[in-house]
Amino acid sequence: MEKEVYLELENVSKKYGTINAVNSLSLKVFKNDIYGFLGPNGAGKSTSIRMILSLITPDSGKIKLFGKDLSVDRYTTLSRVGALVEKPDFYPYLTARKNLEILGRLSNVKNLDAKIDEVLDLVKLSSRQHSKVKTFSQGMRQRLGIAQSVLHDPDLIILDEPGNGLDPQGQKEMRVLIQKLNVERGITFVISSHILAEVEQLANRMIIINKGKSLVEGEVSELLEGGGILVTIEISNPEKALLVASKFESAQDAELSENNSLRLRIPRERIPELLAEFEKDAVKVYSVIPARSLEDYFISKIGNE
Amino acid sequence: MNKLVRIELYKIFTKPRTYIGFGAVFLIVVAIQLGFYFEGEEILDFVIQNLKDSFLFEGKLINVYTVSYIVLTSLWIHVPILIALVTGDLIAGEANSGTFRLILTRPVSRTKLLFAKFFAGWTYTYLVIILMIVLSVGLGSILFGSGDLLILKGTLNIFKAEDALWRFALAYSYGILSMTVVASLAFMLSAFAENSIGPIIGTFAIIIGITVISTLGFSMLRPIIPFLFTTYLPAWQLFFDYELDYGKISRAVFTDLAYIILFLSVAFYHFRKKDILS
Amino acid sequence: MMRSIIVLFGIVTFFTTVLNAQRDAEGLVKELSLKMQLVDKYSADILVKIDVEFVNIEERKAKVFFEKPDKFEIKSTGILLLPKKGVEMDYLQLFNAEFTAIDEKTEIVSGKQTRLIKIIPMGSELDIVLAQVWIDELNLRIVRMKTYTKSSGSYRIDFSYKNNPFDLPAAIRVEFDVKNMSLPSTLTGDLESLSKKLDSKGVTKGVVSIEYSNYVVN
Repeated sequence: MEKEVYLELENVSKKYGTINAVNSLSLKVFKNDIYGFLGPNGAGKSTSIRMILSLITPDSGKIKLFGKDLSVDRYTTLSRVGALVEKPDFYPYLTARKNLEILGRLSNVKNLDAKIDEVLDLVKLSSRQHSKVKTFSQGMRQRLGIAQSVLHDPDLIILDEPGNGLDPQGQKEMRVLIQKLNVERGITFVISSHILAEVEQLANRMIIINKGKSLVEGEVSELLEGGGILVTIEISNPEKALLVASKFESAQDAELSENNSLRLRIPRERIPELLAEFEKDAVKVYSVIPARSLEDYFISKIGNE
Repeated sequence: MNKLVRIELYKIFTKPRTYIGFGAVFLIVVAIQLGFYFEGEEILDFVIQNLKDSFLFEGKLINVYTVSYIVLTSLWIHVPILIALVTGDLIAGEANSGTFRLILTRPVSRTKLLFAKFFAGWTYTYLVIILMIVLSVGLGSILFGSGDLLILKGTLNIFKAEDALWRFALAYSYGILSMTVVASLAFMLSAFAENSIGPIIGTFAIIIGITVISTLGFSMLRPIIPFLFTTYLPAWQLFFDYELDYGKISRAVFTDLAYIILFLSVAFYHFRKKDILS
Repeated sequence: MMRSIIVLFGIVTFFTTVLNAQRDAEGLVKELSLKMQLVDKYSADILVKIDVEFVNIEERKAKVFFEKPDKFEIKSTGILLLPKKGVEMDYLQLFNAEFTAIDEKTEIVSGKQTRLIKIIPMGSELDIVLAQVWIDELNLRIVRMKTYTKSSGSYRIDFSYKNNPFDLPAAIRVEFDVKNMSLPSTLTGDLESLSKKLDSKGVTKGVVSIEYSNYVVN
């Protein structure tokens, strides 16, 4: 059975003056996806997200949410979407709770008080709910930003750089929270990021855009492992190992690297065979380290532009 | 809609700057009244010096109405700034603080939101004027008591207390209308701006600029003066003409209404399509 | 003969008339003054109508109090604007001081036969330098009075009577000189009036009418 499409962009374009911020972008996000939206700064991620959320009107193209045209059904579609766009900015002169109250009212949340308690607890801000937001640290604002995005039980949450301003511990908590919401509540996520690790660990599908154009879209595992994964192998005799590796048919792009290492691309399942070949030729293997796969992939894709 | 209005009112009245307006009105009114309470005779003597040579003045010259009139004239310069301070912030403030990203990604109609914002800003506008009334008339009654209203306005007009009352009521009502023009102007500028300094300063610069230019009286500008909204900002004084000039009054009212409609239409038209980039 | 008799009669008549008039003018004014001296004090309700070009005010009610020789007080709840001269009955000083009275002519004023007498005060301490008084000799009442002052130009008072005690007037109408003054409109921020400044040199006539009622005398 075909999966339900929650978000679809069809040839969406937006120009600012002469600059093509987004250029005929198409993408599909399915129900239950955690969809990575990747690209370097200025690639058009933010403009795309703002168009999806009706903050910016596209010059051309179609945006569909839950199968409905955004420009026609803005009210019903947006009530099923939660979002955090760029910095989590709130009314600084109001308390965290008051901010949520206002936003909850705008989204017609039922049992708002209980709901606010729930989301504050979810992001561990209950103890600070009566403090004005202007006293909040960046990390606390970020968590409050997540809280407001789930406040009205949306089916789709769009997060723009959710790890921003969080320390590593906070980033980890954020990932756990997103996974939990995805699994337990079946919420679909679109996560834009330039922190690749964040997306790599979370997303099942992704798109990479640059200069407003889509470079590649698909399953994260397929995209990353289609040509094998990149590994760095620490060995005793690099020259000999390079020779062995270049004869090994499944290994590609083998090259010497620093510290007696060899870098090459190879399908995951063929790694044991390669190691056996090394052993045959008396090349000792000290370690096999997968490279930061997405980062390399990303750079290779952007670099091709 | 009602919900949006309540939210906007809540925002306005939890924002510290709102109370700058109320505080300023309070301070100015109280300062003028205390000034008149202690130095009123001297101030008034100075004003009617000429007349005292020929005329004998009987009765209470310094009373709630005379002082309220003076409050009105002197405060009318400040009120537009105070109005712009809040209404110029209504849209640009959200842009500046980035909160449009929070509210406009929710199922909220931009048109309705703008209506709610303007209505809330308008509520603030008339509350400022009501505060003026309450302080002028309330505190004035306590300090000075009732009496006839004496006004120097080209001629010397003296109105009986009961006559003064409805004139004040009309002047204040007109004041609300003309301040609504100011609020609409600031609101329109606010729709175009990304921070609230621009619309606030802009509103005031436009008012001062046009007033100064039209007062200088360049002959080539004379034909357009009757069509400028600034011409009618002091039109509340028309209600203190001895014989009301209904022609002038209705022209002032209709011009004000036309400008309100114009400013708001531009604001709504622009904001409905505006890309939120903040 | 007849002719000389007529001439003599004419001469005698002329001199007696002139001499009589000379004496009578002062006498008449003195008589009038004595009559006015009978009023030690009075109070009355007044209704004031002011007609001055640059003053807009409705009819006002007030109460006046007078006590010999020159104590004068007005009590008004509302604001009342009165010309300094005339209303305060400062002309009474004229009758109390030394003066010379000269008969000028007879005239019909407000339907009454009056004698117009010119009064010149002798001292220089008074503000009044000259007064013309139209006297209804029959009722011994002042019908009209025109006064010239050092400080505030001239004013004319017309009196009307209605059997009030001591013949106090039922109404007066004071016509006086008002210097047109440019009123300070800057204070009111009234831009419009700045352009139509009143001519500050011109002099216009102002009129104040006062009706008296409910006299309480002495």
